[in-house]
Parts: sequence; structure tokens; C-alpha cells
Amino acid sequence: MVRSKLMNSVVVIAVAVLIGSIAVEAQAIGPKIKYAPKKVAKKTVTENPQEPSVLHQVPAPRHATRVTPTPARLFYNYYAPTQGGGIPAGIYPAPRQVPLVVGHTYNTYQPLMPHEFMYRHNRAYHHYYNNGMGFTRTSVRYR
Amino acid sequence: MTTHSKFICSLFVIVMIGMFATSDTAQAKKRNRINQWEREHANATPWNGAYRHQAYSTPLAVIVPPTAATHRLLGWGVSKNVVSPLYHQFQLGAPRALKAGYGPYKSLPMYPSSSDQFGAYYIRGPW
Repeated sequence: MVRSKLMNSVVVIAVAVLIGSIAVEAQAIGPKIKYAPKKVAKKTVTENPQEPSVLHQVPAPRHATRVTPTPARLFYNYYAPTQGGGIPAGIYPAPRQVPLVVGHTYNTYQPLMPHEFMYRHNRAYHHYYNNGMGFTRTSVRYR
Repeated sequence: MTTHSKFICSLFVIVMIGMFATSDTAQAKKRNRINQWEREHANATPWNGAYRHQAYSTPLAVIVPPTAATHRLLGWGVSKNVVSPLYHQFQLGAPRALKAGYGPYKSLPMYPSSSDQFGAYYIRGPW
């Protein structure tokens, strides 16, 4: 009997702590949201009686519009932030940047960029081709 | 073990799991708040200090892993060793140069008193 009382008290304390933590969480989220019942306008039968209901229907498209995902941006360089007044600096000073009329230097394989080897992480690179009909994925584990 | 005690034990386990789940979400929210605060601070302060590197005549950006959190400044004397957080991080997008220019930056003193005066400053690499 004593044992079961002890267990009961432990459970009651745990439940109280849980409720307290949830209450703290709710306070940290922000101001309390007051829920109001949705006001739905009641449709009456006499609304627009002379207009047939067929006019409200929109003809369905034959094919769903396909959105081709944009390919990943080809890497060119990363820069130090200048918002706070810092001097501009590129992460890769070599090869040197050239004017726009000359052309650009690209590193065409992002997984082998040196800054990816600085810490342990996983990354997946996606490439869409053939107008979004084809898709390849390259998963890299930096260990 | 009676049924009653089994029920109490299972209830206790459920409550403990719930507590750990809420603590995880609290940590995630705290982490997001810290990241937001770091970004705001990085947008308001320059990444470089007041000194220029001897070899480049400008402040030098030394890249460190993006997982790095702090860096240490070593200096002569009492309370001159400072551990400060790393806020700035390399990002995409070419910056616009200021018309007024940057600097002037101080040169390395004859007798340096802090590692900050060598003109090399840490920036975290991009994610």
C-alpha cells in the first residue's frame, strides 16, 4: 500500500511538472490568441434566383499546369557581409574576378568546393533537366 | 507486478516522454531566437576591425567552419584575453561598394598589444 502511494505521488508530481512546462511554453510563444467562432454567411435560396448555378463553374483545364523547378544557382562566389559597414571580401579570391565583358569563372561541381570540407555534414544536390521531366540527385556525406 | 502498478508505470513513462518532447521544442525555439539575434547583430556591425593586414593593406578575412561559435583575442596584460562570439558569415550576393570608400585602417603598431591588431579577422564559412 505504501509502495503504491509512493508511485501515485510520483505520477502526480510528474503530471504537475508536465503541465507547468506546457504552460511555460505557451507563454513563450507569444500573446494569447483569442479564438472567435467563424461567421459564415448563410446562403439563402433566394440569392440571385435568376442566375443559373452553371455560370459559377470554371471549366477545368485539361492538364494541370506544370511548374518546372528552377535549377540550382551555379556557384560563383560567397562574400563577407557589408551591411554593417565591413569591407567587401570574397571567399575565393582566386581565380581573380574579371569584368562582366570578359566573362566569368565558374566552379562547375559544387560538392568539391573547399568550404564544404570544413565540417561534418550531409548535403544533397538536385538537378532538373529536360524541362523538369528528368531529375538527378547527388547525396554527399562529408566525414 | 499488479495491473495497477503496471498502469502507473506506463503513465509515468508517457509523462516523461512528453516532458522530453516539450524540452526539445523549447531548445529549438531558443536556438532560432539566438540565430535571429546573431543575424541582426551581424547586419549592424562590420566583420572587420580597425586594423589592416600587413601583406594585403586591408583587413584579411580568415574563414572558419560555420559551426564555430566563438573566437579568442589574445593580448598583453590583465583581462586582455577576450572570447567573443562569431556573428558574421559568408553569404551569396555580390556586395555594392560604397562610394565613400572604406577605411582608413590602422597599421600594425611597433609593439602589438593584442592579436586583434594584426588585421586578420575570422568569418564563418557559408552553410
